Amino acid sequence: MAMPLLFALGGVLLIVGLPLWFAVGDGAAAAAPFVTAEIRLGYAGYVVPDVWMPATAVLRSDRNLEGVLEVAAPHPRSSRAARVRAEVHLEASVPRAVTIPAVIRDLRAPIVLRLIEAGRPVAEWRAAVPPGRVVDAIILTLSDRPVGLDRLLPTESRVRIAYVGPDSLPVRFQLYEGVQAVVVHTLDDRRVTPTQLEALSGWVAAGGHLILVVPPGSDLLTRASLRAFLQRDPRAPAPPAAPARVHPWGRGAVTVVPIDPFRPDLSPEGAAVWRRVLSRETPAPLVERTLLDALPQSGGASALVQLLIVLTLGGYLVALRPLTAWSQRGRGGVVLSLALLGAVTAAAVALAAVARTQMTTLIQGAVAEGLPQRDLARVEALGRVVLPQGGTFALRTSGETLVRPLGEADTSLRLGGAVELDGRAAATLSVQGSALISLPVQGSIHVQGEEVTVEIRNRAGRSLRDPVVVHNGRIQPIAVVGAEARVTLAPEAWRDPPPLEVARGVRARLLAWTFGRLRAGAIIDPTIDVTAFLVAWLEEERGVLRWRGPPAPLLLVVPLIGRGDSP
Amino acid sequence: MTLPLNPVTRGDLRSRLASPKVLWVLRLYVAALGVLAVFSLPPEGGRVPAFAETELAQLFLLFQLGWVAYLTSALAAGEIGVEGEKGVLDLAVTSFSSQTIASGKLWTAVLSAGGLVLLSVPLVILVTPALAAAPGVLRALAVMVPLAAPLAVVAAWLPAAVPSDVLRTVVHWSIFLALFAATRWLPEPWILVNPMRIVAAAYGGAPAAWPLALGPYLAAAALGWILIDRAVRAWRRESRL
Repeated sequence: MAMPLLFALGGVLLIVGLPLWFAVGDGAAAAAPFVTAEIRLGYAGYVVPDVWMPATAVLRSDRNLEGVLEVAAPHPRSSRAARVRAEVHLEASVPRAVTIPAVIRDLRAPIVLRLIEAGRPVAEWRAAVPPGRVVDAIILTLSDRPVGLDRLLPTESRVRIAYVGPDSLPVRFQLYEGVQAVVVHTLDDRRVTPTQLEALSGWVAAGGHLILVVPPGSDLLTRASLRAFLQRDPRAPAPPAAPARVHPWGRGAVTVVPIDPFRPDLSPEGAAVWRRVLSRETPAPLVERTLLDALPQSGGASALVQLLIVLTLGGYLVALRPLTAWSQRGRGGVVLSLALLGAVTAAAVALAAVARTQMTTLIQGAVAEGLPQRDLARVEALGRVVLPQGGTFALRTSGETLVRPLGEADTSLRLGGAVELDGRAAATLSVQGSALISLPVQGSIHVQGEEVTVEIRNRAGRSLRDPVVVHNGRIQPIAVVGAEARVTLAPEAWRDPPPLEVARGVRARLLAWTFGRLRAGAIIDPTIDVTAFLVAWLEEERGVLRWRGPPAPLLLVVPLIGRGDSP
Repeated sequence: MTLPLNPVTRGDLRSRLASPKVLWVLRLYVAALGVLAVFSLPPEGGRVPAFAETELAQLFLLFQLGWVAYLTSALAAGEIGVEGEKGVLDLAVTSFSSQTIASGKLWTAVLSAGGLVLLSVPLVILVTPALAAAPGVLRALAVMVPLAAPLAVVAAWLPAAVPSDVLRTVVHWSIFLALFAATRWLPEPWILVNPMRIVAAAYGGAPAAWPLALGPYLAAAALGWILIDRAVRAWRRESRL
């Protein structure tokens, strides 16, 4: 009965030992109460879900601290969370405000802020969105009389006025995502940083609406920070907003309203003007989620690697005969068999490594949308990361880029660094990245009867490849464009763009999708005289989602400003 | 030079390794796992939403557990007949002690399950998602042996207890189904004795108490050992009468 006793002893060892082994090493870091934080979510407490919102923590520490502040926003349907991290440097007893972008997707679960020092969490706070503070959009208002604008919004509206100080203006254009308009009534230039102005300018250029309240006697337009917004000739909007003037600014607009909406005795006419101004719709973005559907579904290992894997498996099947035969020949035979098994295993390890490198793929569609009259382009990238379960994937990003997951995934974005995706949830993760880049490429179109002439000014220092002009939903390739080019298009050379259904490969599908969007007039803004677009590939890789694989193609879409008569 | 093995085990393994039928069984086992391994590789997994939510490596390991458990016990029960391999009653007529026979059948089961697990290593590597997942995969592979071997020891006793081939097959499959299927309806936490749950827990590392669920399997191995020992003794006693 020695064997059952041996098993019983082994069982006791397993039962007692293994749980102990698994239990070891789960010690959680205890929070140390030497640092306090005052947490603010959104703008004046208002939060727009599913878009970038600021999460601000005013930190105060008893001692100097260098670490990382992490904001973890949970996903509503899973235990996954999107984390954004920023480095923080705290001096003893000096309060420091740190704003981190976060996408709040689960309104019932609190956002978790963690202060991490030397890789170890030292403090943790939770902040929830208060009831009644979830809105569809926010109108940021800078005024020394923070009352009165609310009455101009329709009663059924889920848009709310957030009265904020200049300190609360975002330093990243993406943080305006939930903002419908910015109303400036009073402004102290000294309290606005160049970074905030740059973010505001970028947002307006990308389609935002800046409203300046300039009643008679106001000196608001003398502010240096606002004068730059009034360069182009204003246009008078249609009545009843007639007294207001609209200055085009990229795809957006700067509206100067000579009526003070904060006055208690605001006239009905004045209120009508303001209602009209506040109701301006934000132009639809060129790149939206349908691009994700247009991208190929997967990358995958090359045919050669797949063939090698199948051949190795076939070879292994053949090797089973010698493997079993040698095993009968004593110790030497067993060693030989083990060596053969080791060789097959080594081949599998090598093939698995190669295959995983190839299969861990980023399929990215990146479009840079040139902003009219601004030497800027808004880059939106939608990507599908195909990675093995349990694997991780790191994307490099530039400082101005924000990346977020579009599905359930554990992500960790280090501001100005990289994004790490954890593949526990799924093999395919969708991500979105956005950034503004400097891109001085502008163009115009002159239509005279059937004769169409296009002028392109490219001061970006990068050549445009395979340029195509899109006009009235039809396309015509043009010759390679230099720094300054004037091209007359042949009337008989216009053709219909290829449909998305027949396009194969990332480039072809991205191009077909873009033609489809432009044909629908999706990004034509009524305030801008855009009738055509130049579509070309940028030679240099500037996709905002980068990884160690081959560079992502970046498609440039430049609006061509109309000059002269259109047919 | 020979390996210091129990003589019963040595005889069983020699017969199995020399058997063309077992070679084809092994080819079938490797081919089935190989096909699953190839189709478990991304991006195939990501194409189907249902697969995207499932841990394909875990699915592979559960599939493999089924193969290892069935093949080990089917070989022991004689359901997959191996030329030259002696059953418990065949061995009862030899001079080996009943304990040697019981221990031999136990070691045969352990080494057969271990060999099947070892053969799968090149395929498991293909489905192991990342280096970080390797400890979980190794735990799952290791736990397959104590899960499959007890079933095989009990199966090795079946020819001595159930003379009819058909009835023996029915009993063998009943035990197999009871273990894999019926235990799925057990309430928490008893459901953890389900072998698939144990493999999944070993792979995922949770719940941490999963090693406790191996207790009944160790007890089953001991029971199988005792049953073989008693069966041999009983047969010898009856033969002397």
